[in-house]
Amino acid sequence: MIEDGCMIEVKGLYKEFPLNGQMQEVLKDVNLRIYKGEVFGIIGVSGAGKSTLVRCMNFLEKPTKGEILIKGKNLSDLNPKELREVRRNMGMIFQQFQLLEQRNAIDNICFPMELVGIKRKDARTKARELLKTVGMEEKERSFPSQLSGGQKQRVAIARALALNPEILLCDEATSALDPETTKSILELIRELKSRLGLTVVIITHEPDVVKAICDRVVSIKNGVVSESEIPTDSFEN
Amino acid sequence: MNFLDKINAQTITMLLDGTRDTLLMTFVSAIIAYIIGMPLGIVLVVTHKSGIRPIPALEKVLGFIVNILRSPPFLIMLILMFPITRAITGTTLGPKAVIPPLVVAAAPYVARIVESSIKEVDAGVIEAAQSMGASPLQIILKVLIPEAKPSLIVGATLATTTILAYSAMAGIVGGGGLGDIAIRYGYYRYETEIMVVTTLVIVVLIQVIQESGMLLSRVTDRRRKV
Repeated sequence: MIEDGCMIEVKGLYKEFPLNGQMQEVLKDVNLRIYKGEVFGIIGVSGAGKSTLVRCMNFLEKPTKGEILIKGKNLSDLNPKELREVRRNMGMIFQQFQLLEQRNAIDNICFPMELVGIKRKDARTKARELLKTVGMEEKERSFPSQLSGGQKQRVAIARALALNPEILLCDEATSALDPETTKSILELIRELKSRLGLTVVIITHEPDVVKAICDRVVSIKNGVVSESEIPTDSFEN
Repeated sequence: MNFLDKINAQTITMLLDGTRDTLLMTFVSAIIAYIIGMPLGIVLVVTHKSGIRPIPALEKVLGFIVNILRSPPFLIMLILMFPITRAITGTTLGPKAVIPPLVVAAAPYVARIVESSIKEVDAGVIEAAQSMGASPLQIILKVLIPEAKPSLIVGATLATTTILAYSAMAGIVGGGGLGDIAIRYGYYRYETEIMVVTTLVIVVLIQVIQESGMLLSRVTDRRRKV
């Protein structure tokens, strides 16, 4: 299954949520193949189902129907422990950063390493390297409340990369940031992608974001993903 | 009679003993109430249908028990508990005998306070931890409790002052401590001065506990801008 380099495969995915007592179809028959080393964009207006789609990719949301395969592994077949292991290979960053407010920058980056039992000393060494990678070595001891949005997202990126994942999921990662900061965060993601060979999935409503960074883009509307890819140069207009 | 005439060395000794008994009852009860109530509060959040380990049936049953235990007025609880109190402590008089009813009254209250603090933790942060492969237990120990800490401290302050106030009520059944002094001397013997002074001591104790709790919460909260 992974000979062709397919990292994420979405097959016949449906997701329903109850809304006002009625089941609402949020995703309808989504099929995607995302390959190793590419930056894959999913663009759509808010409410189109794109956040639900990316949450299905690491099973934060369980699909109503259909399959998610990560490197050929069907997530529906995994027990909770196996699922946690797969998740550790998939870093995720969020619109609201979701850092632990009571931990400083370096301890936030150590968090995923603590979860897998990496020794504190080794975790801190690795966290310092990552802080440097994201250009935040000066802010090691700062708490999230003392950082700007862009700085918080840099720490969140470092945290997402702490376990050397092969996949990075970005859920509206730049939507809370100003255009300048957005640009610098996207540059950082692109640089990390080339350096680490990451496969990146970007969920956004901003055409500028996909234009700047994505190799392939699909659009999503009312839970349906467009059949054809959008040529990335079409966003020039 | 001069107000201060009543405040002789004997009275002061009595008030000091009463203060000691009251603090003992309060803190021992608070600690035991937390040993029971804190895990209970966490279980209520975690097993809720929107929690990280939903077991709605368990959550409903525990919530129901908590509500029942919180329902009777403390004085009634004190009396209802007499047989159990006697079985545990061998007496229904004095500070020691007030601890079991205080614990039974406070533990469900503590559970609800802890529940509400833990619920304040941002769902997005919990989701982020799940995306990193955190297990439910890891989320409880490394996300929920540490992130809710400032609020948990405020809650513990509230619980402790409430327990102290309840312990004073136990004076009616000879529970010892400041409440007992206030009732015996102040009310039964019409020594109003003693009642006033005793009440003042309780007021001061509550103030001190309240202010130190709030201060502790503030200085340990990392969300503050420095």
